[in-house]
Amino acid sequence: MDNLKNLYKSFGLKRCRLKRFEEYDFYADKKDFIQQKFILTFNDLNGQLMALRPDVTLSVIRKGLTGKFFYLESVYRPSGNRFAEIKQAGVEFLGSLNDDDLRLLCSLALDSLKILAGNNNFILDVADASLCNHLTKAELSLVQQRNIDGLRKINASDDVINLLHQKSLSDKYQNILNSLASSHLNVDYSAVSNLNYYNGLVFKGYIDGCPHCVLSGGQYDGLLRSMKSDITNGAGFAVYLEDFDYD
Amino acid sequence: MIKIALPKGRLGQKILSLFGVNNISRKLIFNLPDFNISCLWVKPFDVPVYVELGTADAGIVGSDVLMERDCDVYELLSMNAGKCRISVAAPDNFSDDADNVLKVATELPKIASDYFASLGRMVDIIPLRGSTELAAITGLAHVIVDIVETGETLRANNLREIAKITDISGKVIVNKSAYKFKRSEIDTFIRKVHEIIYPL
Repeated sequence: MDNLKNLYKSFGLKRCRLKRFEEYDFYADKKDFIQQKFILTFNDLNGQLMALRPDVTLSVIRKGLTGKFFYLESVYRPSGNRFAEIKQAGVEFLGSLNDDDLRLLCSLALDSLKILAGNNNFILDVADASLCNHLTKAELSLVQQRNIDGLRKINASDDVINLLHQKSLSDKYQNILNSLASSHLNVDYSAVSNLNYYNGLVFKGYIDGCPHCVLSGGQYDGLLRSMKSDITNGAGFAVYLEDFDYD
Repeated sequence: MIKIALPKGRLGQKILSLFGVNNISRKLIFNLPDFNISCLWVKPFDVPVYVELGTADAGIVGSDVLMERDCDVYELLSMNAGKCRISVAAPDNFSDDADNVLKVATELPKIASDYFASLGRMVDIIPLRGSTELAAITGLAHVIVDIVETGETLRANNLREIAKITDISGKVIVNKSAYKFKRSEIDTFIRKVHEIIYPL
């Protein structure tokens, strides 16, 4: 992970170090954000139910710091029939965000993919979550599956179906993408995730030859609000390192 | 050439005959050069496994399998080729007593328990690997949840359909990562399938 660490440091990001466990309730409240049904728990010496960290972003937000951070941490999640320790790297920007910050975040996501991909091709899918606010839960999940037949079947409006044919984002975000001038960027609304938490730019990264998504993130002002944080804007991404030989 | 997982059994046979292949050898992997695909012949429930883990770029599978097993894939095409449904069936003389815990035998335990939970009905799900009709006839279960096409098997065993849970259709599913990097090949395959299934 040294090359990822060096990348993040070279842009002035500070390393954020975190505890491996927090109270269970802290995560249980946010199960729909971390998208994990199962959390690894244990009782602390005073009887309190604790959990080994299934997600890093929540802990970073809880610290209440503002600025630009990166982390290299483990998360504990089911993998197959067992819990596994899974290595993650990630970047979080907390505080007010301007276009330059979002540009830097995208560029770091692209550079992270490039490091992991080696000689393979890679793609960063991007979308604008704010255009999806009117979607019902059923529509959102069909959009994530690019399931146009399914959307027609539930009589989704043309606006919703057309999201899947979009080749560009709204001006604000398209300008950011254009300034990055990368052939690896691809507009794809199936990248949109939980709309209670994400707004604005969201993205997912893929590497040729690696069957699942290896990077995921976006702007999460809604998550900050739901955690009653004093910070209004936040954005970041996590890189899943389980498929890579990093230590 | 892209790799496509096809489900052994009725749906898979039907798809292959639409592709113009009628004699299936015992080979589990074979090429269809006209479609520029290599086929993996796997059990229906294994189709999403092959696709999600990327060994197959895409697959064809019944929506019952996708409802039974969550998987993170694209669903790019629905085919109403099968015209099947998932139904609850019971012996001709069955009468429901809502105070009893209903014993339900099925090959689709998740679909069955989701359905009865949506009705607020207490059930005891008995998962089986096939011939569920026998469970209702022998009294192993009160009712069964199974795939119904014509209803002939039910009638032959003195069972009747008492409720339809959902219609099912064939789906083309695609690995999300493969779709980023082999998009034109995958889209070409899907277009050809569409032309065969819905000829103009």
